[in-house]
Amino acid sequence: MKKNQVFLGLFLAMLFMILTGSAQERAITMYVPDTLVKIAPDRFEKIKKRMDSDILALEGRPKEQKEYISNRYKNRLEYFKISIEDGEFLIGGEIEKYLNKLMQQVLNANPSINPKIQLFVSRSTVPNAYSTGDDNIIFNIGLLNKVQNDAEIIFVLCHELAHQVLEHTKAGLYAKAEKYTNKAFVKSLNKTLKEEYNVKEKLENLIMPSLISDMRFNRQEELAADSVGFLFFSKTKFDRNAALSTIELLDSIDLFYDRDPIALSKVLNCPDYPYRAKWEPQEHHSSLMVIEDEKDVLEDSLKTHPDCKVRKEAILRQFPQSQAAIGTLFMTDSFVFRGLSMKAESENINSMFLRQNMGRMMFYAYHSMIEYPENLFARVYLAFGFSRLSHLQKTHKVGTEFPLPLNNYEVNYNKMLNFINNLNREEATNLGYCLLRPVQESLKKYEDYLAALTYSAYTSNKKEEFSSLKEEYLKKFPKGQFTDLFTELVIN
Amino acid sequence: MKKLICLFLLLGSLGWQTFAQTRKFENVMKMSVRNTGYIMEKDVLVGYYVFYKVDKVDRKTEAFKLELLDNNLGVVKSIDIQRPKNSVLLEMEYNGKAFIMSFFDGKKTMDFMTFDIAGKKIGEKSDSDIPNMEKMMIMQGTQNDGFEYSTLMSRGADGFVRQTYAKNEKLGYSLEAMNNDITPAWTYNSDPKSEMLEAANMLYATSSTVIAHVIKKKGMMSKKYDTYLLIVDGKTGKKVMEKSMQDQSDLSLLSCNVNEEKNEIIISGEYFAPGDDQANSKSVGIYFMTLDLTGKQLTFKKMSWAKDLAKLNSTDDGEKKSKDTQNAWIYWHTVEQTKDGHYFAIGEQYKKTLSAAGVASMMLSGGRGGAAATSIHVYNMVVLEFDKDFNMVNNMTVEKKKTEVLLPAGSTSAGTAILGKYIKSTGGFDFEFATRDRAKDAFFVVYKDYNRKDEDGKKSDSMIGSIVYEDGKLKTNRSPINTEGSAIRFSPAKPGYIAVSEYFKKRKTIEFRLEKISY
Repeated sequence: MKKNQVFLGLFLAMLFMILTGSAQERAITMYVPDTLVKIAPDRFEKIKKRMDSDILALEGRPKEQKEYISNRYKNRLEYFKISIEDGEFLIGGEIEKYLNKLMQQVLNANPSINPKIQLFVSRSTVPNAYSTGDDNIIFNIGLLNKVQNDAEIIFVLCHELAHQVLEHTKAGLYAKAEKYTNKAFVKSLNKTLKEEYNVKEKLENLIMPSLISDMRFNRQEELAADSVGFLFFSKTKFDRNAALSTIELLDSIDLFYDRDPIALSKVLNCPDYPYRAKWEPQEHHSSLMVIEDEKDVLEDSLKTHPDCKVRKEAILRQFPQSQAAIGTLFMTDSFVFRGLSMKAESENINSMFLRQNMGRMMFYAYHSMIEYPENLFARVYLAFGFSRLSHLQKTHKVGTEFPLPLNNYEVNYNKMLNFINNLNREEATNLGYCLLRPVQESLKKYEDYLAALTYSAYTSNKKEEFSSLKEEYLKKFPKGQFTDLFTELVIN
Repeated sequence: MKKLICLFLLLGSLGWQTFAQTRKFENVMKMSVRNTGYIMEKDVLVGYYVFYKVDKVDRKTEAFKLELLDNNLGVVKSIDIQRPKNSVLLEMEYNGKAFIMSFFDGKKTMDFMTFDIAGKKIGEKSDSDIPNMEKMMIMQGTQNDGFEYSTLMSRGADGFVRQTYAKNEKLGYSLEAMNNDITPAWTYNSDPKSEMLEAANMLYATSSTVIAHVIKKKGMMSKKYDTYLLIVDGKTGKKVMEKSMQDQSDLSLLSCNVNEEKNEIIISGEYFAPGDDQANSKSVGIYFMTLDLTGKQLTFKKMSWAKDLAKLNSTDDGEKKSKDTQNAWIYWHTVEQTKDGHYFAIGEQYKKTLSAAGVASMMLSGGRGGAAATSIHVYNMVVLEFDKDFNMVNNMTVEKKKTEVLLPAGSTSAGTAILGKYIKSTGGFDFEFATRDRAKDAFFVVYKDYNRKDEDGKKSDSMIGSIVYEDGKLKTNRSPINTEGSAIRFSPAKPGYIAVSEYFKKRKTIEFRLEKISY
């Protein structure tokens, strides 16, 4: 009896903590995206200087190799130039500052690493990070919203720093230059290209062995980067188990958005326009899809990375299990990290908005609303997506911004696309409008909120409301990102 | 650049600027209608195919790729096929379990190949004994990139059935059923001793039933012909019945639909005054007939142009419609049935008229050939709604721009039924296709409208019109389609969509995309 009372007390205490915690977390938060920065002269100059010195270091190599490698270096510089000019990197914002703090922790713990290494945060939603081989590391926003703690980010950074320290990119490029500028190889390539019959097969026979050997080499380098990266990682204050959980996360990252069944009724919950059973998303299905999925039969010899199991075992060999729990998972605490994750989710939404992929944008917004119900930014952009759908239906241009399901998309994304593509104009208009009503005056200071309100009033053909919201927007944000659009919009 | 994650992640589940509904095929030297097409399973569109040359294997052989796309244009399979040089793809058919492709070698042989859905070849057969009539049609047709050959139908998952000609005493026809591995299942031949010329056109096929439209005439030059509806047992190839399409006079056969849930055949066409024949006379009205799968007639309803359909000539207010469309005939493209038992007949108005171009052509040729003095004007789309007993309960005329079809010399006296068939065969109607979504009790009819201006007066490269039945209501819509390609083609898509393929000659590229037609 006493035991039961203890359990009941503990249960109530836990319930209280959960309830108060959840109430605390559900305070509405409006994320303001990082400003779109399209110039970074200091950073670019640094990359250019590094390229010049890398080219100088090629002295003494055969002319063809020198040209081959120089061209790759120049392409790399061009990639940075275009990416910066296109606003591809989140420069100087909160997210970058946060990641730089983490990076600094690694550098402080590992003085052997060049402290001048630059970190760029890319708007790419592909879950990835990479070293470009010239003391620059790129971390995609699409990976940032998927890691579970700061320690996992630290392990990713350590892995990429290891690639840089071990000069894998440089070694790979030099090896390729030797191979592809080899006179015998060039001669047989040219000869094959001039042949009349079976050109495709002969080209494959010529190139494939070399490609397979490159991939094998890559996989060895990945294991080396894991090993050295883990050495860097183990010198930090972070929990070593995070190295293993990162590998596990990457192994299942394709299923990230399919962990739970899609539940649109949870987010499309307007009192004035309730969820309809007929909207329930259907599975994407075609009888032709029973055909085996090619990506599952990808030859092992063509994989760039070793199997995740092999990577995990290799890391485990580097430290005794007894030491596994040493260290922390968070730089500050889990609450601060949750804030970072929510910002990363919002930047994923923003990234798809900037790329005009409204289907993906709405899917990320839905996901964020489920994970972070307090994220008003997600609600605003989900509503914006519906209003945009309504407008594009009117102008018969839905296909320019909304994809159709594809068999290699996530199950939930395909269901969302089926739902979106089955909506009629009236439904899309109403959803875009109701998700932001009643209007909260205090939130009108946020550009994205006011813009979505204005656009939903426009697509709903509410002349007076649109006119007043438009005026308010143009007054508050004369140089806003929607100023040009709203200046032109008129309801006749 | 070193990447942290496994390659399969990069293979791309995340879309960037390129969306699913656009699919591009490069290095396409020439766009031929036969090399792209849609894949139907029963009456549901499940995907598309694209067939193109990728390499030369040797002096006599070429390598091709057959790309199979799902109904959202996602590539689901690529199949490598080697074919003799100069061989052309005639057609491809899918039955849910296997694909059949037929090729012509340019001289005398037709080759058939079947593949299972994993892309494994399961059957191959050559036929070097093609009837001369078929060979002539293929040789003439393949000179034209727009030629569509349609002689194969799937008979459920069991196999396929092919219609061809038979070398009887006079020209006859043959229906040849084959299994998925192309071994013969059965053959149905027209009477080898028949004194009539006989030809068949398959209208419908499943594993249990094959329905064909048969015409019989005395000689090649005779104008008069008789129409029959033939039903063959799909399992055995035995004739179930052959119904002469006659009432008090001829009945033309313009459309045939099968309601598989009710095992009911719905046919429609025109009827003629006693003593008149369909080849030379104007029809008196239209008819709808339903039959069961044994050929037993269930309902037969006639509607005269003069009385029952006269309301098509007036507006809702009772005022007469434009003089142009007064007394126009209607070619029935399809009859759709909804869950409440109502029938919707979708047709297009057409009318014979004096042609300035035809008269000029006759004068220039001294009356020895060229075009006829009359031409056909094709007018509006028409939808007639009937209750389950074929009583007309609603009618709708959807206006579109008039188009003209020139008639060949000597056709001035031809009857409405034959003229309708002629316009259909030359692609002169604007009707493109109809798709249906049985689960949602919806159908979508798509047509071209040469009035390319939208409601705001803005001109587009093409204008697609749609007639949609959804949520128990009929709706119409017009969608502008713009292109920068040197050729554009529309084809059926999943319900509510149209597939647009554009060929860019300079870039040697075909681009496919889907456009939504109903909102």
